[in-house]
Amino acid sequence: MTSSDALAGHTFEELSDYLDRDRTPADPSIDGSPECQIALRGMQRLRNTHRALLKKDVERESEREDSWVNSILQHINLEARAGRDIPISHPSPSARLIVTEGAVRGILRAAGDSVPNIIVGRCHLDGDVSVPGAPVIVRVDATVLEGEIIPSLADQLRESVYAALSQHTELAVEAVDITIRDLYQVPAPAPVKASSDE
Amino acid sequence: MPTTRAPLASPLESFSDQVLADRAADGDVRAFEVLVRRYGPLMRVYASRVLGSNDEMDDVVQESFITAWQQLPTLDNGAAVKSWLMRIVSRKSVDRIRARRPHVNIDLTDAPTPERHSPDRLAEAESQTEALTRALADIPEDQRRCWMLRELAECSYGEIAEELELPVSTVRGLLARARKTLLQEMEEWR
Amino acid sequence: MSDATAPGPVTSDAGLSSALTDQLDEAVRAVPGVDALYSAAPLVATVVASVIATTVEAVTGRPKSNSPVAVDEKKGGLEIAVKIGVTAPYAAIDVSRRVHNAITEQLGQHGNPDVAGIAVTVARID
Repeated sequence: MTSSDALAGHTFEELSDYLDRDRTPADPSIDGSPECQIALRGMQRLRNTHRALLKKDVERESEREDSWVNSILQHINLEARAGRDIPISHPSPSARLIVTEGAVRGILRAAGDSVPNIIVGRCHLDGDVSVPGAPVIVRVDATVLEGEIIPSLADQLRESVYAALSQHTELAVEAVDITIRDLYQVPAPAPVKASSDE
Repeated sequence: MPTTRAPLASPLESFSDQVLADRAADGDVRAFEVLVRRYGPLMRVYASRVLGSNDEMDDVVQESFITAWQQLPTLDNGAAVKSWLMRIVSRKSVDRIRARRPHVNIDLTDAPTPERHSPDRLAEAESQTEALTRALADIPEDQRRCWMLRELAECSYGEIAEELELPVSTVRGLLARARKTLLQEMEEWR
Repeated sequence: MSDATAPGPVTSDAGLSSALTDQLDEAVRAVPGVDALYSAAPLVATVVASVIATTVEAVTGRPKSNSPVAVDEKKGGLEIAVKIGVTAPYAAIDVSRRVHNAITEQLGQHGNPDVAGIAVTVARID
C-alpha cells in the first residue's frame, strides 16, 4: 500500500527502525522527505496514543495495590536467601548456634543505611564462614551521593560494618573491601511533605 | 539539609533499579517490595493484555514475581531489572495462553465476537485509545508480542529477538508491520 | 540427617511434647531481643515476610502445637530447633546463647530429658 516510492525510496520498516533509533544518526533523505515525515509522525502519534493508554491503565492498576502486593510477598521464599550457616560458639556440646549468611547480609545493609549518603548494594563474605575462626573478607558494593567525599564515607561505612559484624558474629574479618559502583543524585521528590506531619 | 532527612523513612523508594535489584538479590525483602510496587502495575497491564482478561492476571503476575525472586541472584545487570521482569511476565502469560489453548478451540464460538464489526460499536468509538485497544487485540500474535515487548516492556530489538527466539531482522519486520496495521486501524477512527 | 523430614515426631506422647513445645515457645519469645519465631521444621515451605509492616508468623503443620519450635525425638535424645529474628540493639551472639540457655532451663523443668541437640538459628537481624 505504502510503496517505497512514496517513502522516498525507504521502506516502512526502515522508518520504524529509524524511530526506534531516536532518529540518530540523522538521515537527511528521511528527514528531508515530506512523505517520510508523515509516516514518522503517524508512528509517533501511535506511540503517544499508546503511552496515554498505558499510563491510564497503569494508574488504574496502581490504585488497586496492597492485597496483591502482600500476597506476593508472603509467597516468596526467604529460605532461598539464607545462604551458609555461620556458627556462634557455645560451651555446651549439644548447642548448635547459627546466624545465617542472609541475616549477616541484612546487617551489612543496615550498617550502610546508618551512614548518610551511601547506599549498600550487594555484599559478599569471602572465606569459609562455616568454620570458626577462618579468615573472612567482606566485600560490599555501594553507591554514593554525588558530591560526597568518597574515602571518608567509605571509612565510615567500613567502621560501621566492623562494628555490626563484631556485635552479631564471631567472624574473623580480615578486611572490609568497599567498591563504590556508582554515584546517585538527590532524589527529586519532596522529602519534606511526607515527614513534616510527624 | 539533605542529611537531616528522617532516616529510614523508607528511602528505598527513591533508590535506583540497580540498587533495589542488588539488594533484593541479596535477600532484602523491602527492596523487592519496592520493585513489586514499581513495576507490578505495568506487569499487570501487560498480563491482562496478553491474556485478554483479568481473571488470571493476579496469578500470572504473582508467579512472575516468585520466579523473579528466585532468579534475581542470576541477574547480572540490576539496572535492566525492568525489562527483565517484563520478559518474565511475557513468558508466563504466553505459557498460560498455551496451557488453555485446547479449551479456546472448543469455546471458539464463545470467544468475544469482534466488536469492531458491529455498527453500534463503530459509532461508539469515541477515542483513539479505544481504537488502539481494539486494533491491538486484532493483530497477529507474533506482531503483538513484538510490539508489547517493545512499547510496554521497552526491550531492545536484541532482547526481543532473544525472548522470541527470532532473528533481529524478523523482529524489525514484525514491529514495522504491527505499527503499520495499528496506524491504519487508528487512522480509520479519526 | 535427611530423615529429619519425617513428619510425625514425638507421637509416643503427643500431649506431653505438645506442652513442652508450647513452653519452649513461650520461653524463647521471652528472651530479650527475640522479636520473631520462624518455622524451624525442615522442609516446611512456610514462608515469612516478617520485615513487611504486618508481621506474619509462620506456623508449622504440627498437629498439636501451633508453635514453630521443632521438637523431635531421636535415638540420642530430643532434637530441638528454633529459628529466630533478633531486633536491635540486641546482639545476635548474646541472644542466641540466651535462647539456648532458656531452652535448657525449660528442659530442666521437664526432668532433664536426654538432649541430642539444641539448634538456634538467627535468620534475621533488624
